[in-house]
Amino acid sequence: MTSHNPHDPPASGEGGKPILRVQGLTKRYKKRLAVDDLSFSVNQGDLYGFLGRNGAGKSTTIRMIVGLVWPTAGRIQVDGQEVAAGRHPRNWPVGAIVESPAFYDYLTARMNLEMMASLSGGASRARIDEIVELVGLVERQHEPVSVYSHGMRQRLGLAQALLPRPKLIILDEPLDGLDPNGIRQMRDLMLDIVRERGVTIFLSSHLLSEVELTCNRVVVIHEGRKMFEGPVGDLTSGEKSVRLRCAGGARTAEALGGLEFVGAAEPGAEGAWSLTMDHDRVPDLTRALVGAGIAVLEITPVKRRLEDVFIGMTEGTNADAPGPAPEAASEVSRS
Amino acid sequence: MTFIKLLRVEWIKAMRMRSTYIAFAAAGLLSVLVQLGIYSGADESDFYQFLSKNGFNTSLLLNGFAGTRVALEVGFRLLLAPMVILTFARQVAGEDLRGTLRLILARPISRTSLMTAKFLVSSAHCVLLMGFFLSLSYGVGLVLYGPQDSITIGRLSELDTRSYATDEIEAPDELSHGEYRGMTDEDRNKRRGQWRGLEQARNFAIAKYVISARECVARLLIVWALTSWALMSLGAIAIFFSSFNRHPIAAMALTIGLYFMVGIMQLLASSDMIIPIFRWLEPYLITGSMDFWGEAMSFELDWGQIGRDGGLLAIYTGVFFGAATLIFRKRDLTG
Repeated sequence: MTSHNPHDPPASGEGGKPILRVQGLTKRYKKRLAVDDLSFSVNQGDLYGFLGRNGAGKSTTIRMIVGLVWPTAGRIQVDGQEVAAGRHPRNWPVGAIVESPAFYDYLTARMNLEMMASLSGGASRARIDEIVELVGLVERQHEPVSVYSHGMRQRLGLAQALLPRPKLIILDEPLDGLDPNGIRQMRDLMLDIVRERGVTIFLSSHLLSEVELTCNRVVVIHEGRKMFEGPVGDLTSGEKSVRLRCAGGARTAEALGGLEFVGAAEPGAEGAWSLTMDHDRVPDLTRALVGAGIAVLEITPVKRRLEDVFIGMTEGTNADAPGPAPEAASEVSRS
Repeated sequence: MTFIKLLRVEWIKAMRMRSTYIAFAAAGLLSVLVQLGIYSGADESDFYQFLSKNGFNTSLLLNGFAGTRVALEVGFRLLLAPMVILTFARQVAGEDLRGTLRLILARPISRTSLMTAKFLVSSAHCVLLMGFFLSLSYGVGLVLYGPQDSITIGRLSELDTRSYATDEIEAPDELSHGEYRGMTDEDRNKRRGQWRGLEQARNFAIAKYVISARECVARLLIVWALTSWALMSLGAIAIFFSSFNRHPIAAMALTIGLYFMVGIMQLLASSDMIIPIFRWLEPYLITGSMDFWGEAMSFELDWGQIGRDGGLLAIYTGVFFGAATLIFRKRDLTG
């Protein structure tokens, strides 16, 4: 039995065998370079986030991986096998939702799944039952897809991707358009799939808070190029800050100035300060301030959010953001 | 094995789609209406009266075979061909627009197999449509008239427009220019009707060859094969336009536009207004060859002509289907 919190991201699959390797992937549409020399590697057991703004090249990359778009250059390997557009290996170990899941609306969900199963090497009736139950569509599996809500379609999309017992599932914006309840259901489902079924998920999403909650590793791309690849924690760590409120007035500035572990201290309104410092040193800060006779009203460690890092990185305004291509490329070569 | 599964999936999709049956409903309605129209009103026409008065065996003209021929003359180009175009044109572009193309092609399915399966299933639809049209039309004819021997006249257009043996039968004196001008409108119309009847009777007298009721069935089976073959060739053009258009309406419009344009060229080539380029092109135009089913309704089957037209249609089919497959294989599916 595992003792993890069901809502925590899975443990890093860094030590696992690469299930998806992309090397020097490039796609040019006439004059526009959609994807530029992109390299990354997804290991078995990862719930791997794929981040980028609209038009960054995420969908093009996913389409190249699943064989819908021909790369201009580069290599894609899935489970050690080379992939080319229109030519999948026979034992293709990938299930995918590419953009919003589309189905034959005039057929029932069950019939859609049966058809997709037969095109993926076949799946038994028991397997379809199992998957339908997993995604919570047992009651409504015999209704036409035309009456399905967006959330139900997303779950059906996940079901069709799971049918052929894939090793890797590629999900392109699976949380798009879902209400908070639907997002939570989908998140739990993804975590369950990775943890309990050992399937690797490659997740593209705009919802950065969700990626932060669910993924253990991410690759960030901007204008077709890689900006970062690595554990989510590495992206949100780095320089941290602490919010301080106290009633010390000028004495506070003096006390803070004498603390070598405080990098920068910016005063705000009503005794508030924003300090740049390691969160581990918060007890030392408390002791120092109390020792100086300053009444401490609030000390809050502030963690950088993925959203802040992402926006800074893709707008090029965050000097603290982990460096782009060179470091990231070395990660790929290590894996 | 996979191809058989793919064929089965394509067949289920086509047969479960409500719009598939629109073509059957329209074709059925037309065939029944034409037969009932002829049955209820033909004996009141001047032509029929004239034949009857002059001792012709009118049952040779009013029977299921002749009625089916009229229904085909009316419906083949203007109803059945456009319906078949709709079926073929939506095959790739329709799925692309709906998003289901990426659902299928993200699986280990070869694009060539998918295109071939779509063409074969659409062709089967086309064969069924023609079988339904002909059997319903002839069936209604049998109910109305019973099994009858039938006269073979070739094309209805020939019956209407071509003037045979004008030297042998002189125009009645009443219709000479001066007297005709002096007549009342009512008399003039009556005389006009008589003249038309006389003219058509000349054709009828010339095309006096009769085939037996049993041979009518055999002839209709040949017509079934030839019309299906002709429509499949047109379908190959439609699927060609479907292979690179993202919207089925665009594929349909392009095919119908081309079909009517070639039809107009055909008309210009065969009319009195001789335009050399069209005359030169005429033997190679698809619309001319598509009418080769008319040979099966002539007294003597010209197998040579059927072979030439059938061969030309085969070339059209091969070229357009081959081009469609090549384009589809190389195409980036970005929609």
